[in-house]
Amino acid sequence: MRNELLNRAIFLINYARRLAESGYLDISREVVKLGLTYSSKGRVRLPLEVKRSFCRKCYVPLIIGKTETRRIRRGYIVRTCNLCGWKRKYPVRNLRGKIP
Amino acid sequence: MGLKITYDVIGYKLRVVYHTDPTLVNREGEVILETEKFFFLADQGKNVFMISKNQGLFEITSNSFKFSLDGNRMMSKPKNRITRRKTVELE
Repeated sequence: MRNELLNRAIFLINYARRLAESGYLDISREVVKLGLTYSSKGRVRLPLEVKRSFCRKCYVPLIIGKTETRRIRRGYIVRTCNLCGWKRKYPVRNLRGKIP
Repeated sequence: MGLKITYDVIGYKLRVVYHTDPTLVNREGEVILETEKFFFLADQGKNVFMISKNQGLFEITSNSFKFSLDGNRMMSKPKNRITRRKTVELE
């Protein structure tokens, strides 16, 4: 059951990304929220690359050039959400290959 | 025979078999969002339209299966439909 919830949550967040690429930003937010609800209700941990694929504040999928801006400043990758202004920094050394 | 849906139907193809609104009959599209009372469908022309769940019969299609769905049985939020234990109800 937990495995099914995890797979469904991952599918929804990836599906939301496709919706955002097609231009349905508001609907993609709701789909991301639903996927996160599944993971919290089922108490399953999402993979790191999935957790880093959307904005933590406004839940919009982060797509470079559309909803996200990336810059490198002083040894950090700075990701900025273009819609709400949320920022997050990742050190370049310890990326672990997990930024989509 | 019916199957109780434990999750949502986002991502599947849906066709309206019967609805009290005759303009919605035989409309089909991909479900892009499901709320408590509505389906949001996107057709091939990328137009988004809402269909109310109650008083409608729908047909869900996927690569491997096809089954009918009573909208009245789906009048709930998808997040409230999931349970810790798997529930399968056959009528």
